[in-house]
Amino acid sequence: MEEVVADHGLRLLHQLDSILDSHPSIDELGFVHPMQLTSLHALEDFSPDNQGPFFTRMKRRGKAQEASINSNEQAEDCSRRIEGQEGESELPGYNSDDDSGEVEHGNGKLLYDEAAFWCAHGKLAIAVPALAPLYKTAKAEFRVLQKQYAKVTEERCESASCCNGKEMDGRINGIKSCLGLMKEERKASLEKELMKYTRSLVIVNCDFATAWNARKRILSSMAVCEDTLLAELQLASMVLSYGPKSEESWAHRRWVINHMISGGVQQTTIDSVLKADSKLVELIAGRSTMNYRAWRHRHWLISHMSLSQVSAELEETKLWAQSHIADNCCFHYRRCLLLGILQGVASSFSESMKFPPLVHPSLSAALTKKPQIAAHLWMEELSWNEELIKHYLGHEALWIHRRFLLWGFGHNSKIFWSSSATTVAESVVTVSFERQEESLERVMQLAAKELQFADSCIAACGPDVMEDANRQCEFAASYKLWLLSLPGEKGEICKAVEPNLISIQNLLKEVIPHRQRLWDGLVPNIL
Amino acid sequence: MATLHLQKHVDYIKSLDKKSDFDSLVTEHLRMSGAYWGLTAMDLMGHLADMDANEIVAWLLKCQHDCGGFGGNHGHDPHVIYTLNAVQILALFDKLNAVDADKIAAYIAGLQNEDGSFSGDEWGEIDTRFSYCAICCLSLLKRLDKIDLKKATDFVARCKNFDGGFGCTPGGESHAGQIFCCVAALAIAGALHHVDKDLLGWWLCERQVKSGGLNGRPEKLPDVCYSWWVLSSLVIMNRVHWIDKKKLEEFILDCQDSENGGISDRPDDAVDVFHTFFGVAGLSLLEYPGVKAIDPAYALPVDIVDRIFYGQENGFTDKL
Repeated sequence: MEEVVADHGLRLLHQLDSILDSHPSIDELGFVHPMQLTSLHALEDFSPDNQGPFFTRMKRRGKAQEASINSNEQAEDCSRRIEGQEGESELPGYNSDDDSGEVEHGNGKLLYDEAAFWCAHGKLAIAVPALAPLYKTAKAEFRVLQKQYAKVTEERCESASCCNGKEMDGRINGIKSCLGLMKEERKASLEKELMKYTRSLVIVNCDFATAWNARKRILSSMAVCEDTLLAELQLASMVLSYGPKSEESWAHRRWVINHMISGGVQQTTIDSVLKADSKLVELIAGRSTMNYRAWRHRHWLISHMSLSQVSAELEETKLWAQSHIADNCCFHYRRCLLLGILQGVASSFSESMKFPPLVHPSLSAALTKKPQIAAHLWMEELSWNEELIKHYLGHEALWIHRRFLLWGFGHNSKIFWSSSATTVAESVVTVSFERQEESLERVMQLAAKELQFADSCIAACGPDVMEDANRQCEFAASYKLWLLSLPGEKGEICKAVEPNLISIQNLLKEVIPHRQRLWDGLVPNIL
Repeated sequence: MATLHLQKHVDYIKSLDKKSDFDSLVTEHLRMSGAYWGLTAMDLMGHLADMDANEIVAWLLKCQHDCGGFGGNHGHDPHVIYTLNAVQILALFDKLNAVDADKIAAYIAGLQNEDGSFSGDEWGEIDTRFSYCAICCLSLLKRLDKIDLKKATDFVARCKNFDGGFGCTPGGESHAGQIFCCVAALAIAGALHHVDKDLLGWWLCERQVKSGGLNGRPEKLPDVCYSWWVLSSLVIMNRVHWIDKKKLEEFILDCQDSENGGISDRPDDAVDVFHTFFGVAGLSLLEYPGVKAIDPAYALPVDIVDRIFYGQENGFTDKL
């Protein structure tokens, strides 16, 4: 029985390999119920609608589920386990008029078990029951190969070291080099096999770190080859389409990109990879909202960007943010871009910043020539945020973004309002006393306006009992507290404009009573 | 009025060992973490003795590599996370003497980078979670002096954001899980002065939604595991009285499967050992009767931590 299972697993593995080898641009993966696979095969010719994901994920419920499944439902970003194995029915976004169907079976074309696989138009579906035998067999083979590979790489080191710097008899040299060649061939063959099995392993289990590591190990021992590394990124993209929160997969991408950079891959390729990665995050973020791991990756890309790329990202993500106003990750990303610009200006002032320099040197260089960009972009962000707040009531992410912007203005007034002056030379290092006073004055004016804005938001909500309006009130009230507690660079900014602190306590008590314990503890401490 | 179905959860955790379904197969790589979650939960519920300590320790020791680090299971590459979990499990069973502490310390020290950060393994990924794993593990082994602790805490401090929270790297989005790692690491290292307790306390309290549950970031749904990460951070910073503890307790109890045992991320979802542990740990921090006290920084029962640092379970100071 064991043998039958193993054979079955091996067969499935070989079929999966053939599918992957003949479809190098698969961009989406799904694990589906056998009945869904049957319907996929029953589809005549079609082309997928590229707007949304082809496979959508289903959340696993408790008691309604099959008893045998012990749910390892992934927690919100905090667990390293994979998500549930069930895939979904395809989206109704297919167009049956298209005649370029790629389902290949029979007649000398690619053969695979239709009860296990379906592949067309860059989409690959695997039936859930096929996963276990596939995985078990791949893992068993992987273990065996790992041991053999470890042995070969050890022996290789030993023989390399014993040949060094010694005079050898020509004949012995010949034998050794012949043996060496055989070892090289053996190593290469093992590597090929390992890459094959680990490919299947990470597809079924994207968090199987040891499999990803084996690939890194092999790639490290070879000469850097652009095509190979690009194919590696393609594999990671495919895996991420099913496991968008897989930290191992994202980390693998970063490793590959770093490897490309250090391995001397040409800059144009690197640039297009970085651009594509940013787009990949956006695509994935659209399908799995507030995806911490995905956005963390996009944040990592900023350190490789120039000023024009950062500004472009700010512009391009604006539209996305507007259609995902509850996605705090996106707004955080914009905060990183804005901070990056600020840091670029700051480093040109050689001021010590409260945060470490994270920007590409070219970004700083460019900002030295145009320091007023920082103020312009930040003010633009502030007014755009105001529009969104007025339009979309009660959205926490928008208010948090506003808190950040005011914090930024408060802590860096010298940079903002000095840089809105003429040239860098005038405002470098020792900012004149007048300029400092002026910039502080500007911050206080801004803060006063913001307090009025918060009041207007509270007033606009009235005695409405709708949830959105209530939340808007709450956020506006806590925003007032935020403003009043901003220390700024020379003592509290806002105290000068709102000396009556009792009123804020009463406001919070009235508008956000369920957080009374928080206000009782917090307000005396921060005001 | 809901109560804690303690025995059901004990039975649930004991049943996990026997599972060999596909889910167990694809979570095999993190079995060390799963074991830590299950065993610590068992100890908090007073049932650690139900488990076969010798069998578990024997399995655990086979997960150690020559470099000193532990993998998530047999044949899995070493990583600092599993190294911490292994040491935590050994602490639970009072078997820390089964390992060479210097070897483990050397492995961890080797993962520290120039800027003070820690990589998770030889492949170089940096994350404040790994800083926590390193600091917590070395502290339990009483070998914190093997790393540059000042650089380590300075790096963590650099991951602080405008909102008082911490992310995975400098500039990373504030996230309750990462915040726990940073606050706990700083606490263990004696560097809590880096934390703005009022500002962060405010951010953490805003995680409590109207149902009483806690989320991990703005706009997200509440999840039982944040009962641990948010709560433990608040306890460390002495601000836990700022949240509505009663409502949180009700939320956690609502997430139980009262028939089959186990706790899920939110009411009516499927249960798992991860959420069972964090639910019980959260209740412990809320001082729920029948659950042992847990240390908010080490994430181990207080009596276990006392035993390590003071030599006796009843808390009396031993000769040092």
